[in-house]
Amino acid sequence: MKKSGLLDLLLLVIRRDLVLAMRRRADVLTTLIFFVMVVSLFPMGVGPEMDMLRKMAAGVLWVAALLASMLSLGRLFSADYLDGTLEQMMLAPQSLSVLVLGKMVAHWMSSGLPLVLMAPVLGLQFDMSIKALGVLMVTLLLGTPVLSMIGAIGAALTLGLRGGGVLLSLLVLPLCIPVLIFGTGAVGAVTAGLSFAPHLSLLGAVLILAVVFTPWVTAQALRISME
Amino acid sequence: MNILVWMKANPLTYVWIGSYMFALIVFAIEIVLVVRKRKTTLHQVRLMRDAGDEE
Amino acid sequence: MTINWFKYASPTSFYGLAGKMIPWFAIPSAILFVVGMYMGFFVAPVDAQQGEFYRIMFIHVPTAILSMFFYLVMAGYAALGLIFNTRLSAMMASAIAPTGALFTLISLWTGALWGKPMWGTWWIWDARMTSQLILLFLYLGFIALHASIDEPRRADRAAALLAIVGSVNVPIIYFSVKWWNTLHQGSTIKFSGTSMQITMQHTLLTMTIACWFYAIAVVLSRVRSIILERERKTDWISELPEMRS
Repeated sequence: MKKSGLLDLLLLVIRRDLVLAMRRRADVLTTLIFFVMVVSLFPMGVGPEMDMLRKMAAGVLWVAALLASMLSLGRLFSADYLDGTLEQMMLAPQSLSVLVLGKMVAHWMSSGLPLVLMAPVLGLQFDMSIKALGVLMVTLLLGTPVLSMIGAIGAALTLGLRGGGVLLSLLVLPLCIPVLIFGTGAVGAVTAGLSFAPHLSLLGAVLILAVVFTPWVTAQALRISME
Repeated sequence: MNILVWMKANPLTYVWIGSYMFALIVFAIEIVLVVRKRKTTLHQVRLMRDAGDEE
Repeated sequence: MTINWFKYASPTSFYGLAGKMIPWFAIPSAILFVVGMYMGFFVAPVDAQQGEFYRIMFIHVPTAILSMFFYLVMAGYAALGLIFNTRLSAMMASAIAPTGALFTLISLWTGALWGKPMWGTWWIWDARMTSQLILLFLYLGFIALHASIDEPRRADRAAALLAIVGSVNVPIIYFSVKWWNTLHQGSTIKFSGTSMQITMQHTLLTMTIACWFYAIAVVLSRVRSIILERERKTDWISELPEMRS
Protein backbone atom coordinates (compact mmCIF):
# COMPACT_ATOMS: atom_id res chain seq x y z
CA MET A 1 0.00 0.00 0.00
CA LYS A 2 1.30 3.36 -1.00
CA LYS A 3 2.17 5.46 2.01
CA SER A 4 0.97 9.02 1.56
CA GLY A 5 3.24 11.80 2.55
CA LEU A 6 1.98 14.03 5.33
CA LEU A 7 1.47 16.91 2.95
CA ASP A 8 -0.59 14.75 0.61
CA LEU A 9 -2.69 13.68 3.54
CA LEU A 10 -3.18 17.27 4.62
CA LEU A 11 -4.28 18.38 1.16
CA LEU A 12 -6.56 15.39 0.89
CA VAL A 13 -8.35 16.24 4.12
CA ILE A 14 -8.61 19.92 3.21
CA ARG A 15 -10.07 19.13 -0.18
CA ARG A 16 -12.54 16.65 1.30
CA ASP A 17 -13.80 19.03 3.94
CA LEU A 18 -14.09 21.88 1.45
CA VAL A 19 -16.10 19.74 -0.92
CA LEU A 20 -18.40 18.78 1.94
CA ALA A 21 -18.72 22.41 2.97
CA MET A 22 -19.59 23.41 -0.58
CA ARG A 23 -22.37 20.84 -0.61
CA ARG A 24 -23.82 22.52 2.44
CA ARG A 25 -23.42 26.03 1.20
CA ALA A 26 -26.26 27.18 3.41
CA ASP A 27 -24.17 26.66 6.55
CA VAL A 28 -21.37 28.78 5.20
CA LEU A 29 -23.70 31.52 4.06
CA THR A 30 -25.72 31.68 7.27
CA THR A 31 -22.54 32.25 9.27
CA LEU A 32 -21.64 35.09 6.95
CA ILE A 33 -25.09 36.61 7.20
CA PHE A 34 -24.89 36.35 10.99
CA PHE A 35 -21.63 38.28 10.86
CA VAL A 36 -23.20 41.05 8.78
CA MET A 37 -26.26 41.22 11.01
CA VAL A 38 -24.34 41.44 14.26
CA VAL A 39 -22.20 44.23 12.87
CA SER A 40 -25.32 46.12 11.83
CA LEU A 41 -26.85 45.73 15.25
CA PHE A 42 -24.27 47.87 16.94
CA PRO A 43 -25.03 51.17 15.20
CA MET A 44 -28.70 50.47 15.83
CA GLY A 45 -27.94 50.01 19.46
CA VAL A 46 -25.53 52.86 20.09
CA GLY A 47 -26.72 55.45 17.63
CA PRO A 48 -25.60 56.59 14.17
CA GLU A 49 -23.06 59.17 15.28
CA MET A 50 -20.15 58.60 12.91
CA ASP A 51 -17.33 59.69 15.21
CA MET A 52 -18.24 57.14 17.82
CA LEU A 53 -18.82 54.40 15.26
CA ARG A 54 -15.47 55.01 13.68
CA LYS A 55 -13.78 54.48 17.03
CA MET A 56 -15.79 51.34 17.71
CA ALA A 57 -15.44 49.86 14.26
CA ALA A 58 -12.47 47.54 14.76
CA GLY A 59 -13.84 46.22 18.04
CA VAL A 60 -17.31 45.63 16.65
CA LEU A 61 -16.03 43.81 13.60
CA TRP A 62 -13.67 41.69 15.64
CA VAL A 63 -16.29 40.73 18.23
CA ALA A 64 -18.70 39.86 15.45
CA ALA A 65 -16.03 37.72 13.82
CA LEU A 66 -15.47 35.94 17.14
CA LEU A 67 -19.16 35.22 17.56
CA ALA A 68 -19.59 34.07 13.98
CA SER A 69 -16.64 31.71 14.37
CA MET A 70 -18.13 30.26 17.54
CA LEU A 71 -21.33 29.51 15.65
CA SER A 72 -19.61 27.66 12.86
CA LEU A 73 -17.32 25.58 15.07
CA GLY A 74 -20.06 23.15 15.97
CA ARG A 75 -19.93 21.61 12.53
CA LEU A 76 -16.18 21.06 12.57
CA PHE A 77 -16.41 17.53 13.93
CA SER A 78 -20.09 16.83 14.38
CA ALA A 79 -20.89 15.56 10.89
CA ASP A 80 -17.97 13.15 10.89
CA TYR A 81 -18.72 12.14 14.46
CA LEU A 82 -22.32 11.31 13.67
CA ASP A 83 -21.66 9.14 10.64
CA GLY A 84 -18.69 7.31 12.10
CA THR A 85 -16.03 8.84 9.90
CA LEU A 86 -14.32 10.41 12.88
CA GLU A 87 -13.88 7.04 14.50
CA GLN A 88 -12.32 5.73 11.30
CA MET A 89 -9.98 8.70 11.19
CA MET A 90 -8.85 7.97 14.72
CA LEU A 91 -8.22 4.32 13.98
CA ALA A 92 -6.25 5.14 10.87
CA PRO A 93 -2.47 4.73 11.03
CA GLN A 94 -1.89 8.24 9.78
CA SER A 95 -1.20 11.03 12.22
CA LEU A 96 -4.40 12.31 13.77
CA SER A 97 -2.80 15.71 14.31
CA VAL A 98 -2.30 16.15 10.58
CA LEU A 99 -5.88 15.14 9.90
CA VAL A 100 -7.08 17.63 12.48
CA LEU A 101 -4.90 20.36 11.00
CA GLY A 102 -6.45 19.68 7.63
CA LYS A 103 -9.93 20.02 9.07
CA MET A 104 -8.95 23.26 10.80
CA VAL A 105 -7.63 24.74 7.56
CA ALA A 106 -10.72 23.74 5.67
CA HIS A 107 -12.91 25.14 8.41
CA TRP A 108 -11.09 28.44 8.28
CA MET A 109 -11.37 28.61 4.54
CA SER A 110 -15.11 28.10 4.72
CA SER A 111 -15.87 30.33 7.68
CA GLY A 112 -12.99 32.67 8.56
CA LEU A 113 -11.88 33.60 5.07
CA PRO A 114 -15.33 34.80 3.97
CA LEU A 115 -15.38 37.05 7.04
CA VAL A 116 -12.03 38.55 6.04
CA LEU A 117 -13.36 39.25 2.56
CA MET A 118 -16.61 40.71 3.89
CA ALA A 119 -14.95 42.98 6.41
CA PRO A 120 -13.99 45.87 4.08
CA VAL A 121 -17.60 46.38 3.03
CA LEU A 122 -18.74 46.50 6.63
CA GLY A 123 -15.80 48.66 7.62
CA LEU A 124 -16.90 51.28 5.13
CA GLN A 125 -20.28 51.39 6.87
CA PHE A 126 -18.36 52.55 9.89
CA ASP A 127 -16.44 55.11 7.91
CA MET A 128 -13.09 53.48 8.50
CA SER A 129 -10.16 54.91 6.60
CA ILE A 130 -8.62 52.80 3.84
CA LYS A 131 -5.46 52.41 5.89
CA ALA A 132 -7.42 51.20 8.92
CA LEU A 133 -9.40 48.83 6.74
CA GLY A 134 -6.23 47.37 5.33
CA VAL A 135 -4.77 46.74 8.76
CA LEU A 136 -8.09 45.31 9.90
CA MET A 137 -8.10 42.84 7.06
CA VAL A 138 -4.58 41.75 7.86
CA THR A 139 -5.45 41.24 11.52
CA LEU A 140 -8.50 39.23 10.58
CA LEU A 141 -6.43 37.22 8.13
CA LEU A 142 -3.93 36.37 10.85
CA GLY A 143 -6.45 36.04 13.65
CA THR A 144 -9.38 34.07 12.26
CA PRO A 145 -7.24 30.95 11.70
CA VAL A 146 -6.30 31.10 15.38
CA LEU A 147 -10.00 31.28 16.25
CA SER A 148 -10.63 28.16 14.18
CA MET A 149 -7.75 26.37 15.83
CA ILE A 150 -8.50 27.24 19.45
CA GLY A 151 -12.15 26.64 18.71
CA ALA A 152 -11.33 23.18 17.43
CA ILE A 153 -10.06 22.24 20.88
CA GLY A 154 -13.38 23.32 22.32
CA ALA A 155 -15.30 21.51 19.60
CA ALA A 156 -13.37 18.33 20.33
CA LEU A 157 -13.98 18.58 24.08
CA THR A 158 -17.71 19.22 23.70
CA LEU A 159 -18.26 16.55 21.06
CA GLY A 160 -21.78 15.16 21.22
CA LEU A 161 -22.74 17.02 24.37
CA ARG A 162 -26.17 18.52 24.82
CA GLY A 163 -26.01 22.30 24.97
CA GLY A 164 -22.78 21.94 23.02
CA GLY A 165 -22.78 25.18 21.05
CA VAL A 166 -23.18 27.58 23.94
CA LEU A 167 -20.86 25.55 26.14
CA LEU A 168 -18.26 25.62 23.38
CA SER A 169 -18.45 29.40 23.20
CA LEU A 170 -18.16 29.66 26.97
CA LEU A 171 -14.98 27.61 26.93
CA VAL A 172 -13.33 29.11 23.88
CA LEU A 173 -14.10 32.82 24.08
CA PRO A 174 -11.83 33.60 27.07
CA LEU A 175 -8.97 31.85 25.29
CA CYS A 176 -9.48 34.02 22.21
CA ILE A 177 -9.26 37.31 24.07
CA PRO A 178 -5.55 37.92 23.31
CA VAL A 179 -6.27 37.61 19.60
CA LEU A 180 -9.07 40.13 19.97
CA ILE A 181 -6.84 42.53 21.87
CA PHE A 182 -3.93 42.35 19.44
CA GLY A 183 -6.21 42.57 16.42
CA THR A 184 -8.12 45.62 17.53
CA GLY A 185 -4.97 47.12 19.02
CA ALA A 186 -3.33 47.14 15.62
CA VAL A 187 -6.21 49.06 14.08
CA GLY A 188 -6.24 51.44 17.01
CA ALA A 189 -2.54 52.05 16.54
CA VAL A 190 -2.82 52.86 12.86
CA THR A 191 -5.72 55.23 13.51
CA ALA A 192 -3.64 57.02 16.12
CA GLY A 193 -0.73 57.23 13.70
CA LEU A 194 1.43 54.84 15.68
CA SER A 195 3.18 51.72 14.49
CA PHE A 196 1.02 48.65 14.20
CA ALA A 197 3.97 46.35 13.64
CA PRO A 198 4.24 45.08 17.22
CA HIS A 199 0.57 44.09 17.26
CA LEU A 200 0.88 42.25 13.97
CA SER A 201 4.06 40.49 15.05
CA LEU A 202 2.31 39.31 18.20
CA LEU A 203 -0.62 38.09 16.14
CA GLY A 204 1.79 36.29 13.88
CA ALA A 205 3.52 34.73 16.87
CA VAL A 206 0.20 33.55 18.29
CA LEU A 207 -0.68 32.10 14.89
CA ILE A 208 2.55 30.15 14.70
CA LEU A 209 2.12 28.85 18.26
CA ALA A 210 -1.42 27.82 17.43
CA VAL A 211 -0.39 25.96 14.26
CA VAL A 212 2.30 24.10 16.16
CA PHE A 213 0.34 23.11 19.25
CA THR A 214 -3.39 23.10 18.67
CA PRO A 215 -3.61 20.14 16.24
CA TRP A 216 -1.94 17.84 18.75
CA VAL A 217 -4.00 19.16 21.68
CA THR A 218 -7.18 18.78 19.64
CA ALA A 219 -6.22 15.22 18.76
CA GLN A 220 -5.83 14.47 22.48
CA ALA A 221 -9.18 16.08 23.16
CA LEU A 222 -10.77 13.92 20.47
CA ARG A 223 -9.31 10.80 22.03
CA ILE A 224 -10.70 11.84 25.42
CA SER A 225 -14.14 12.45 23.97
CA MET A 226 -14.28 9.32 21.89
CA GLU A 227 -13.09 6.59 24.21
CA MET B 1 -29.27 58.72 50.44
CA ASN B 2 -26.18 59.25 48.39
CA ILE B 3 -23.88 56.29 48.86
CA LEU B 4 -20.81 58.27 47.90
CA VAL B 5 -21.34 60.83 50.63
CA TRP B 6 -21.98 58.12 53.19
CA MET B 7 -18.90 56.27 52.01
CA LYS B 8 -16.64 59.25 52.44
CA ALA B 9 -18.08 59.96 55.86
CA ASN B 10 -17.76 56.42 57.21
CA PRO B 11 -14.74 54.88 55.49
CA LEU B 12 -14.07 52.19 58.06
CA THR B 13 -17.66 51.01 58.10
CA TYR B 14 -17.64 50.95 54.31
CA VAL B 15 -14.49 48.86 54.26
CA TRP B 16 -15.70 46.57 56.97
CA ILE B 17 -19.20 45.95 55.64
CA GLY B 18 -18.46 46.13 51.96
CA SER B 19 -15.44 43.92 51.69
CA TYR B 20 -14.70 41.93 54.81
CA MET B 21 -18.31 41.12 55.57
CA PHE B 22 -18.84 40.10 51.94
CA ALA B 23 -15.84 37.80 52.09
CA LEU B 24 -16.91 36.29 55.39
CA ILE B 25 -20.43 35.74 54.10
CA VAL B 26 -19.07 34.03 50.97
CA PHE B 27 -16.88 31.84 53.15
CA ALA B 28 -19.82 31.02 55.42
CA ILE B 29 -21.96 30.09 52.44
CA GLU B 30 -19.20 27.94 51.04
CA ILE B 31 -18.77 26.12 54.34
CA VAL B 32 -22.51 25.53 54.63
CA LEU B 33 -22.59 24.18 51.06
CA VAL B 34 -19.65 21.86 51.67
CA VAL B 35 -21.16 20.51 54.89
CA ARG B 36 -24.54 19.98 53.18
CA LYS B 37 -22.85 18.23 50.29
CA ARG B 38 -21.21 15.83 52.71
CA LYS B 39 -24.49 15.17 54.50
CA THR B 40 -26.42 14.49 51.31
CA THR B 41 -23.64 12.35 49.86
CA LEU B 42 -23.47 10.23 53.01
CA HIS B 43 -27.24 9.89 52.99
CA GLN B 44 -27.33 8.87 49.32
CA VAL B 45 -24.53 6.36 49.71
CA ARG B 46 -26.27 4.89 52.74
CA LEU B 47 -29.51 4.54 50.78
CA MET B 48 -27.71 2.88 47.91
CA ARG B 49 -25.93 0.48 50.21
CA ASP B 50 -29.13 -0.44 52.00
CA ALA B 51 -30.90 -0.94 48.69
CA GLY B 52 -28.03 -3.14 47.58
CA ASP B 53 -28.23 -5.22 50.77
CA GLU B 54 -31.86 -6.09 50.16
CA GLU B 55 -31.11 -8.01 46.97
CA MET C 1 13.64 2.71 53.12
CA THR C 2 11.89 3.89 50.00
CA ILE C 3 9.10 6.40 50.27
CA ASN C 4 5.96 5.20 48.63
CA TRP C 5 4.91 8.43 46.92
CA PHE C 6 1.80 6.88 45.58
CA LYS C 7 0.47 5.65 48.90
CA TYR C 8 -1.89 8.55 49.31
CA ALA C 9 -2.70 8.65 45.63
CA SER C 10 -5.51 6.22 46.19
CA PRO C 11 -8.83 7.67 47.27
CA THR C 12 -9.08 5.05 50.01
CA SER C 13 -6.04 6.15 51.97
CA PHE C 14 -6.41 9.81 51.17
CA TYR C 15 -9.95 9.94 52.54
CA GLY C 16 -8.79 9.27 56.07
CA LEU C 17 -5.73 11.49 55.78
CA ALA C 18 -7.79 14.38 54.47
CA GLY C 19 -10.24 14.04 57.32
CA LYS C 20 -7.45 14.27 59.87
CA MET C 21 -5.86 17.22 58.09
CA ILE C 22 -8.93 19.42 58.02
CA PRO C 23 -8.87 20.69 61.62
CA TRP C 24 -5.12 21.35 61.32
CA PHE C 25 -5.93 23.91 58.65
CA ALA C 26 -9.35 25.11 59.72
CA ILE C 27 -8.45 26.18 63.23
CA PRO C 28 -5.22 28.03 62.39
CA SER C 29 -7.09 29.69 59.56
CA ALA C 30 -9.77 31.01 61.88
CA ILE C 31 -7.15 32.27 64.32
CA LEU C 32 -5.13 33.92 61.57
CA PHE C 33 -8.24 35.59 60.21
CA VAL C 34 -8.99 37.15 63.59
CA VAL C 35 -5.38 38.22 64.02
CA GLY C 36 -5.13 39.48 60.46
CA MET C 37 -8.30 41.52 60.64
CA TYR C 38 -7.29 42.98 63.95
CA MET C 39 -3.97 43.96 62.44
CA GLY C 40 -5.68 45.25 59.34
CA PHE C 41 -7.98 47.55 61.19
CA PHE C 42 -6.14 48.57 64.33
CA VAL C 43 -2.43 48.00 63.89
CA ALA C 44 -1.79 49.05 60.32
CA PRO C 45 -1.74 52.83 60.18
CA VAL C 46 -3.79 55.17 58.06
CA ASP C 47 -2.30 55.81 54.65
CA ALA C 48 -1.43 59.40 53.73
CA GLN C 49 -3.01 59.26 50.26
CA GLN C 50 -5.83 56.79 50.52
CA GLY C 51 -6.96 57.17 54.09
CA GLU C 52 -8.81 54.22 55.49
CA PHE C 53 -9.96 52.83 52.16
CA TYR C 54 -6.71 51.04 51.44
CA ARG C 55 -7.57 48.51 54.15
CA ILE C 56 -9.67 46.70 51.56
CA MET C 57 -6.33 45.60 50.18
CA PHE C 58 -5.90 43.14 53.03
CA ILE C 59 -8.74 41.05 51.70
CA HIS C 60 -8.50 41.97 48.01
CA VAL C 61 -4.85 41.13 47.43
CA PRO C 62 -4.79 37.74 49.19
CA THR C 63 -7.90 36.53 47.37
CA ALA C 64 -6.59 37.80 44.04
CA ILE C 65 -3.19 36.13 44.42
CA LEU C 66 -4.70 32.91 45.70
CA SER C 67 -7.31 32.76 42.93
CA MET C 68 -4.48 32.66 40.40
CA PHE C 69 -2.40 30.26 42.50
CA PHE C 70 -5.32 27.85 42.89
CA TYR C 71 -5.92 27.80 39.17
CA LEU C 72 -2.33 26.67 38.65
CA VAL C 73 -2.67 24.06 41.41
CA MET C 74 -5.89 22.85 39.83
CA ALA C 75 -4.19 22.62 36.43
CA GLY C 76 -1.30 20.79 38.10
CA TYR C 77 -3.62 18.16 39.55
CA ALA C 78 -5.35 17.96 36.18
CA ALA C 79 -2.02 17.28 34.49
CA LEU C 80 -1.13 14.62 37.08
CA GLY C 81 -4.49 12.98 36.48
CA LEU C 82 -3.95 12.87 32.73
CA ILE C 83 -0.36 11.67 32.89
CA PHE C 84 -0.57 9.10 35.68
CA ASN C 85 -4.25 8.27 35.27
CA THR C 86 -4.86 8.69 39.01
CA ARG C 87 -8.51 9.22 39.89
CA LEU C 88 -7.71 11.21 43.01
CA SER C 89 -5.84 13.90 41.07
CA ALA C 90 -8.93 14.57 38.98
CA MET C 91 -11.07 14.65 42.12
CA MET C 92 -8.75 17.21 43.67
CA ALA C 93 -8.98 19.39 40.58
CA SER C 94 -12.79 19.28 40.75
CA ALA C 95 -12.65 20.05 44.46
CA ILE C 96 -10.47 23.13 43.98
CA ALA C 97 -12.52 24.69 41.19
CA PRO C 98 -15.48 26.09 43.19
CA THR C 99 -13.23 27.53 45.87
CA GLY C 100 -10.99 29.11 43.26
CA ALA C 101 -13.99 30.62 41.52
CA LEU C 102 -15.33 32.05 44.78
CA PHE C 103 -11.96 33.59 45.57
CA THR C 104 -11.97 35.22 42.15
CA LEU C 105 -15.45 36.52 42.87
CA ILE C 106 -14.40 38.01 46.20
CA SER C 107 -11.37 39.61 44.60
CA LEU C 108 -13.53 41.15 41.87
CA TRP C 109 -16.07 42.47 44.37
CA THR C 110 -13.50 43.90 46.76
CA GLY C 111 -11.62 45.30 43.81
CA ALA C 112 -14.72 47.15 42.72
CA LEU C 113 -15.30 48.49 46.22
CA TRP C 114 -11.72 49.67 46.36
CA GLY C 115 -12.04 51.20 42.93
CA LYS C 116 -14.91 53.49 43.81
CA PRO C 117 -13.06 55.63 46.35
CA MET C 118 -9.80 55.30 44.41
CA TRP C 119 -10.78 55.98 40.81
CA GLY C 120 -14.38 57.09 41.11
CA THR C 121 -15.95 54.15 39.30
CA TRP C 122 -17.21 50.79 40.49
CA TRP C 123 -15.51 49.03 37.64
CA ILE C 124 -12.28 49.80 35.84
CA TRP C 125 -10.95 47.97 32.81
CA ASP C 126 -7.38 47.70 33.95
CA ALA C 127 -5.07 44.72 33.55
CA ARG C 128 -5.62 43.21 36.98
CA MET C 129 -9.40 43.43 37.19
CA THR C 130 -9.91 42.32 33.60
CA SER C 131 -7.56 39.36 34.08
CA GLN C 132 -9.47 38.38 37.20
CA LEU C 133 -12.70 38.52 35.25
CA ILE C 134 -11.25 36.28 32.55
CA LEU C 135 -9.93 33.94 35.26
CA LEU C 136 -13.49 33.68 36.60
CA PHE C 137 -14.65 32.70 33.11
CA LEU C 138 -11.93 30.04 32.96
CA TYR C 139 -12.99 28.59 36.32
CA LEU C 140 -16.66 28.62 35.32
CA GLY C 141 -15.81 26.98 32.01
CA PHE C 142 -14.01 24.17 33.81
CA ILE C 143 -16.95 23.62 36.15
CA ALA C 144 -19.47 23.82 33.31
CA LEU C 145 -17.60 21.36 31.10
CA HIS C 146 -17.21 18.87 33.93
CA ALA C 147 -20.89 19.20 34.80
CA SER C 148 -21.99 18.72 31.18
CA ILE C 149 -20.40 15.32 30.70
CA ASP C 150 -22.22 12.42 32.28
CA GLU C 151 -19.50 9.82 32.10
CA PRO C 152 -17.12 10.58 35.00
CA ARG C 153 -13.92 9.49 33.32
CA ARG C 154 -14.51 11.53 30.20
CA ALA C 155 -15.63 14.48 32.34
CA ASP C 156 -12.46 14.35 34.42
CA ARG C 157 -10.15 14.10 31.44
CA ALA C 158 -11.90 16.68 29.26
CA ALA C 159 -12.01 19.22 32.07
CA ALA C 160 -8.38 18.43 32.87
CA LEU C 161 -7.31 19.18 29.30
CA LEU C 162 -9.28 22.42 29.41
CA ALA C 163 -7.60 23.41 32.67
CA ILE C 164 -4.16 22.80 31.19
CA VAL C 165 -4.94 24.74 28.02
CA GLY C 166 -6.31 27.53 30.20
CA SER C 167 -3.22 27.64 32.39
CA VAL C 168 -0.96 27.93 29.36
CA ASN C 169 -3.15 30.76 28.17
CA VAL C 170 -3.16 32.65 31.46
CA PRO C 171 0.27 34.28 30.95
CA ILE C 172 -0.66 35.18 27.37
CA ILE C 173 -3.99 36.58 28.45
CA TYR C 174 -2.43 38.51 31.29
CA PHE C 175 0.26 39.96 29.06
CA SER C 176 -2.19 41.01 26.40
CA VAL C 177 -4.60 42.56 28.87
CA LYS C 178 -1.77 44.39 30.58
CA TRP C 179 -0.66 45.76 27.31
CA TRP C 180 -4.17 46.75 26.46
CA ASN C 181 -4.74 48.93 29.46
CA THR C 182 -2.96 49.41 32.72
CA LEU C 183 -3.97 51.51 35.62
CA HIS C 184 -2.53 49.56 38.49
CA GLN C 185 0.78 51.12 39.43
CA GLY C 186 3.27 48.32 39.84
CA SER C 187 2.65 45.29 42.00
CA THR C 188 1.71 47.10 45.18
CA ILE C 189 0.45 50.56 45.67
CA LYS C 190 3.25 52.67 47.06
CA PHE C 191 2.78 53.81 50.60
CA SER C 192 4.52 56.59 52.43
CA GLY C 193 7.24 55.70 54.92
CA THR C 194 9.13 52.42 55.32
CA SER C 195 8.14 51.56 58.88
CA MET C 196 4.50 51.57 57.92
CA GLN C 197 5.15 49.24 55.05
CA ILE C 198 6.32 46.51 57.39
CA THR C 199 3.11 46.41 59.39
CA MET C 200 1.12 46.33 56.20
CA GLN C 201 3.29 43.57 54.80
CA HIS C 202 2.80 41.49 57.93
CA THR C 203 -0.95 41.97 57.81
CA LEU C 204 -0.99 41.05 54.15
CA LEU C 205 1.01 37.91 54.84
CA THR C 206 -1.22 36.92 57.75
CA MET C 207 -4.39 37.37 55.74
CA THR C 208 -2.94 35.48 52.76
CA ILE C 209 -2.02 32.49 54.90
CA ALA C 210 -5.40 32.66 56.64
CA CYS C 211 -7.20 32.51 53.27
CA TRP C 212 -4.87 29.81 52.02
CA PHE C 213 -5.45 27.55 55.02
CA TYR C 214 -9.17 28.17 54.81
CA ALA C 215 -9.15 27.09 51.18
CA ILE C 216 -7.17 23.95 51.97
CA ALA C 217 -9.64 22.97 54.69
CA VAL C 218 -12.64 23.54 52.43
CA VAL C 219 -11.08 21.74 49.47
CA LEU C 220 -10.14 18.73 51.62
CA SER C 221 -13.68 18.53 52.92
CA ARG C 222 -15.13 18.80 49.43
CA VAL C 223 -12.82 16.14 48.04
CA ARG C 224 -13.94 13.77 50.79
CA SER C 225 -17.52 14.15 49.58
CA ILE C 226 -16.40 13.59 46.01
CA ILE C 227 -14.54 10.45 47.04
CA LEU C 228 -17.63 9.17 48.87
CA GLU C 229 -19.73 9.76 45.78
CA ARG C 230 -17.35 8.17 43.30
CA GLU C 231 -16.32 5.20 45.40
CA ARG C 232 -19.78 4.48 46.76
CA LYS C 233 -19.85 0.97 45.38
CA THR C 234 -16.72 -0.18 47.13
CA ASP C 235 -16.47 -2.15 50.34
CA TRP C 236 -14.26 0.20 52.28
CA ILE C 237 -16.91 2.87 52.07
CA SER C 238 -19.47 0.62 53.75
CA GLU C 239 -16.99 -0.06 56.54
CA LEU C 240 -16.62 3.63 57.40
CA PRO C 241 -17.81 4.70 60.86
CA GLU C 242 -19.91 7.54 59.47
CA MET C 243 -21.87 5.05 57.41
CA ARG C 244 -23.39 3.44 60.49
CA SER C 245 -26.70 5.24 60.57
